[in-house]
Amino acid sequence: MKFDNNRPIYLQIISEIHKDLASGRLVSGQKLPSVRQLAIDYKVNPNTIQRTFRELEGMGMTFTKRGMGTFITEDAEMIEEIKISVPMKRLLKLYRNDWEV
Amino acid sequence: MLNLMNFEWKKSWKVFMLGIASVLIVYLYLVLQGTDNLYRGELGAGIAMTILVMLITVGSAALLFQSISFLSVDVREKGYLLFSTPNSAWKILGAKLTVVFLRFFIWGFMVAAIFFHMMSSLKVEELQGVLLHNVPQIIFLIVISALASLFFTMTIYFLISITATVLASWRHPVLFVILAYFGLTYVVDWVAVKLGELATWPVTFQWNLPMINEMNGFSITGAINYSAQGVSFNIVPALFYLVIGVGYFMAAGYLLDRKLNI
Amino acid sequence: MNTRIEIANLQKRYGRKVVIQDMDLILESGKVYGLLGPNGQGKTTLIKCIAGLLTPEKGQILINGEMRETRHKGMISMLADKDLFYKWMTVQDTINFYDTFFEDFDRADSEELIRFMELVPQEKVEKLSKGMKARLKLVLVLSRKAKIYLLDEPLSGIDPVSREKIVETILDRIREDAIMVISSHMVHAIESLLDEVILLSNGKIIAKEEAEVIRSEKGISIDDYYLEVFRHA
Repeated sequence: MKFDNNRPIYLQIISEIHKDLASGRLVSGQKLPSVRQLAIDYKVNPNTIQRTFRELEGMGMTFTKRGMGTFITEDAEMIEEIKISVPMKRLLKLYRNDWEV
Repeated sequence: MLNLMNFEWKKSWKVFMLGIASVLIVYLYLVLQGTDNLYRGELGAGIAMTILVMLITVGSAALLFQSISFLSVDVREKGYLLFSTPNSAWKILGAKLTVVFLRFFIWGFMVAAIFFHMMSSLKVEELQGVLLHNVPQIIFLIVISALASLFFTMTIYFLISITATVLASWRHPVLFVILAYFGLTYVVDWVAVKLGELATWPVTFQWNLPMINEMNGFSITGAINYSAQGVSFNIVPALFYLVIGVGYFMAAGYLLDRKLNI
Repeated sequence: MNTRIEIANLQKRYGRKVVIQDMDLILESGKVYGLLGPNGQGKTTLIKCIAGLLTPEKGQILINGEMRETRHKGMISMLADKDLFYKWMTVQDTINFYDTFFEDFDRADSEELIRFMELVPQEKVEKLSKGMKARLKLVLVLSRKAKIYLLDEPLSGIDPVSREKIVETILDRIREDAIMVISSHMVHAIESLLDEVILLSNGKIIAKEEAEVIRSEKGISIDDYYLEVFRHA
């Protein structure tokens, strides 16, 4: 997974998770891989993953169950919002690119 | 400490064993060739002596060279390996010195054995007799010479340690070691002599020597009786050297532990 | 048990040349620090001072509140930017050395890493290519469960395949109770590993920042940040 080093990596990972939620690769209530595993998968420092998890939890997208791990929220509304907003963001991005070009 | 000694031994054991093996092989070859005849008489004794002296000097030089390169390589190039382990410098030095001492002792023992064998071939019974009656004394002498070589080695180690610690920024460490060695030795020897004059602690070294009844050239006629004869000497300078040697060891260890710059 | 390094008023000279001047630095547990800067600016010197291979003229280095001394070497695992090994050593010999002299060495781990790095135990070290030597050094250093890892230019002059294997291995061994310091001028290759970057110029710290903060506040990569800082240094 090649990240853009010009932007905070943790934000890009959050973006990835959003995308996975939108596409259904991640579902409500699903357990996320451990910090260590994600660090290896994404080839980044585990602290970056920690930060990602903190942000996700702060946003309400995930919750932790003591001793069991981090899980995607079961809040259906939030999931729906994400499912809509991701393609929206992509559209906006295309728009922006048009203007910039 | 055992681990360190094992590591030090393994570092250069091949060269050492090669040295021992080649001397033994050459000597055995000469023996098998029946060169015993060479050793007869005074000329023979002369040849035997020459061989002995060569073995002692060449062997000692080689061993000393090996033991010095131990430390100089270690502080100059490969020091990171040994000095990144949590072993105190005293342990590291102690392991090296132990291996050096063992090798000197083994070498000395081999030389003595060869000498003994040569004497038997010479059929100079008297010399043979002297040797046989003084085995503990000979072993003691070997130990003393090994210790003397150790003192030399430790002096060099001390000076090398200085070049790897407080004088690490000096550009010519080898020159320093050579010059400082002569300077230091001169001073130490001078003090040892002075101390020997000021204080005496006589110690008697017992040899078992034959009572000589009659001499005829190189041989002795008549029955030989052995009796203990004491040779007295002043042990004070020797003790002084011992103290200095220990001092070098403590100082070198302290420097390498606390002031390392490699 | 978390680890902490505190460096205060550090000064290191080579003869008359002052290489590190009055340096203060705190390194905290669980973080990976990138020590960046051009060659000869004090990176290796700083690392060697922490490792105990150099003795500073002034200042002190505290490890977990204690003055740095010989026994701390048991918790410091250093990868040096030079040829470490004796001519007679094979790969296996180097493993045996580490196993013998470092209590925290994990032999099983090293064997696994040797396989991953495609090293042959019977091979003489002096016959290895530069890339393979670098891989070997890393195997040894990272097979130790040390508290402080000091990697001095682990990727210098290394082919891309070796580089990737090395970065992956480093990543896998980052722990919360340990400190990692990686010095490199190949910033790009280690970017994603770093928590904080410390930029060294003429023996002084001219910048110390969290990697992600640099990215979010300046919108540039660490690589570019390095260029920016040193263009004006």
